[in-house]
Amino acid sequence: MRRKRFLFGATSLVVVATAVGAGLHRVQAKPAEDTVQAPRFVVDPLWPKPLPHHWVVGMMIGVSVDAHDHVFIIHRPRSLNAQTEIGAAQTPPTAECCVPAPPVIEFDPEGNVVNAWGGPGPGYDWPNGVGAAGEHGISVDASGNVWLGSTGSNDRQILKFTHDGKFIAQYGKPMPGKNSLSTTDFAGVAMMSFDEKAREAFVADGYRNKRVVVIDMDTGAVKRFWGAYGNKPDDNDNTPYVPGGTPSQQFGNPVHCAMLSDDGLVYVTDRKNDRIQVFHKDGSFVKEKIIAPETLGDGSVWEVAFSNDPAQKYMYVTDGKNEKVYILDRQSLEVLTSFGDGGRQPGAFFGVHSIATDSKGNIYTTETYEGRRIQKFNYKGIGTVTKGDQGVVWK
Amino acid sequence: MAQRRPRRSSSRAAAPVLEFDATGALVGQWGGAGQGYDWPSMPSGIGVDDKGNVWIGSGGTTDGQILKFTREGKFVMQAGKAGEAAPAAAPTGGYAPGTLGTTPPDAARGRAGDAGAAGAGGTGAAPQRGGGGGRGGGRGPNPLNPLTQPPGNSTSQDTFGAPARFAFDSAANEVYVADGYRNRRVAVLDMTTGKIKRTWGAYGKPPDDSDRTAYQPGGAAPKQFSGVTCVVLAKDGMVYVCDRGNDRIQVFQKNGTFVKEQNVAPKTLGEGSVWDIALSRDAQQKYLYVADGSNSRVRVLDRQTLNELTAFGDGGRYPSQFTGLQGLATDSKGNLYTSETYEGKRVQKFVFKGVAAVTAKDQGAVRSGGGR
Repeated sequence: MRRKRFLFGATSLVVVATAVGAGLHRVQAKPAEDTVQAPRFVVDPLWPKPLPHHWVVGMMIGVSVDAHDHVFIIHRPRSLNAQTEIGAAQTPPTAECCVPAPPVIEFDPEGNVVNAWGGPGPGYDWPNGVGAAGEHGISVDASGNVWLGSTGSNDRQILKFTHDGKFIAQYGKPMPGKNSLSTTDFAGVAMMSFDEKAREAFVADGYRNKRVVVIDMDTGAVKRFWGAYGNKPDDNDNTPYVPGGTPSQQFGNPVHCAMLSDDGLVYVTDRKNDRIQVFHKDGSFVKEKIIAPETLGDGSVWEVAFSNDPAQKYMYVTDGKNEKVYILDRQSLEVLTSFGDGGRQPGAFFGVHSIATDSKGNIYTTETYEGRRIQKFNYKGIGTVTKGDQGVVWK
Repeated sequence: MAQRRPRRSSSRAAAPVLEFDATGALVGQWGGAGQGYDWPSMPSGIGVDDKGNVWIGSGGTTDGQILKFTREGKFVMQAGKAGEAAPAAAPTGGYAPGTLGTTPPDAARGRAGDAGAAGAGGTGAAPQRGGGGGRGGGRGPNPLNPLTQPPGNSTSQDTFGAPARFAFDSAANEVYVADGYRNRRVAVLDMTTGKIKRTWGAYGKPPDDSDRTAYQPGGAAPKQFSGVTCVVLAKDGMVYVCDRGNDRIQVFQKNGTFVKEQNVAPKTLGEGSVWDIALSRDAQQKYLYVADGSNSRVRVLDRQTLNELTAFGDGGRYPSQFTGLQGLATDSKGNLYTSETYEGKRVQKFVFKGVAAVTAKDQGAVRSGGGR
């Protein structure tokens, strides 16, 4: 079973072709394939609509869908290249193209920009850091408030804004260092999810800390936290990841996602260790799943979203290293299929990072590094798909 | 399905030369170092002649060669040499100048860039050029920026200075070479031997590598080329040359006699506005398309007047947007193909919809879903 995940193509030629597009599949004589019943998706190449005002976006490192199916993204304007991308923003301007978009953009379901905001302001510490780093993660709660993580080198804060970008609260403050036992500050928060009933936010903390931390949604007070397997976090345990080796008893960095399901399970992506760990809300360990365990470097499990059926039967996981989205059965954690491949054409990825679903079951992905875009994958119902890997879901 | 060893990543670099059929399916791939020729340190430009031979230029700071292959990638000839220029600064970025050529039948060949050099992590190396504003400032090692290349040798009769692009006069068995990122001339070669037959610089005068006059919007027109990144031959014998750093097109007769010039987006600084040219496929070749990689637009000019009629595209990663728009080619149906360098790294197809009323000046992104 595990082996299947690595069947990237019948021949090396397929790999070459999908790196630049999806065309070769037509001329390839396909052998009989195993199939599976799973949600089907097709990329929507015309979503979103072109951005206004000659805006361009940098590394896009967060996506969230609000109660009205409006799609919020956050990107890193400072990652844009002054010479090749934002000539219009130079002094004097070197070209008509282009200018950085504000860090937070809100799209309506049709892909129109309906609002954009963000950046430094009075009363709070906008994510900072050296060079491109800083902004990371966007999570919209049921009230429509927008929560931002922060991954700059000194960022230890969480920011909370209204839907329209009015500052509400900051929890933690920027300073050097890290401390996975802190009850006041964080260290490189990646994103969060919410238990509205209990007024608790589950925070992936993070790029420097090694924990999940639960805070009060209204006060920011730290209520509890835990490390891998529910252990007490230990910042001094930096066990390297070795495929097939002894699993680390601590999270690696980053702890990149903490996603709460409707039935009260918390799915945490431990990127460096290629694993998803599942917890109860109180932090007790339930189980784990290793995906693409040969993956080194950035790791294979980046962010998690759930299907929109009442049971949240399926789970979608971005893998920005192998450039695909895995579709898992959420209960068994079995990988049913995956889609995507490396490349710049619609449906391909470069650094696929964040993922969210809307009320119709559509998937949105964002790409960091040089990818720098949001893509929409239209939900086509449950159907028969290739087991293992579908490649680019083109049409 | 064959069992394969687990991979750490499903993505890897494509071959340097890719051939797509008219439906977009990949039908050929080849290129790279081999026996008997010097594969460019940074391939630049591709041209397909009437016989289907494929000509490849070279944009690296020490590249001075032109390579000719069969359609299938069998080596035919090399003109010029590699390793000639003293590198003032070695290229560090992974930015390969992808360009496009179309064969007489409708296959489009596109160079997708050397993706292997692009690095999968971090921001990617920025093409460096000090002070993105004025010209002639810091000359960082971006081989794609003509102003950052070391000076060339534009009087050489046996080698080239980062030759960028080709046009073919099959009847005369001549190939016109945009020479180039370092040199500042057009060179006309015998297509069979690769021997240089004639050369000329801006205004048809002899090129002067020592004249590094910087382009100033509104200032005196520079007397030398600054980055000869394209040469295109029209059926009526006019030769169109991209003078990228100077934001202009110069037009010549085949013998090098200067005809006229036209500035395009003359306020453009940085890397200039005229990166590549293609012609419409009507009998008169009424329209001239300009790839403007600085402003991320394809500009549509009336070829006779050289007036700009409209433009389309914008910066970005989505269909009909560009990041480093570099190359242009048209097919027999009038469709336009674009290639992108820098972080764009893709080929796009723009379907020809006939001649019609469009927005003057700037249409933004042109997509079936509606533009801006």
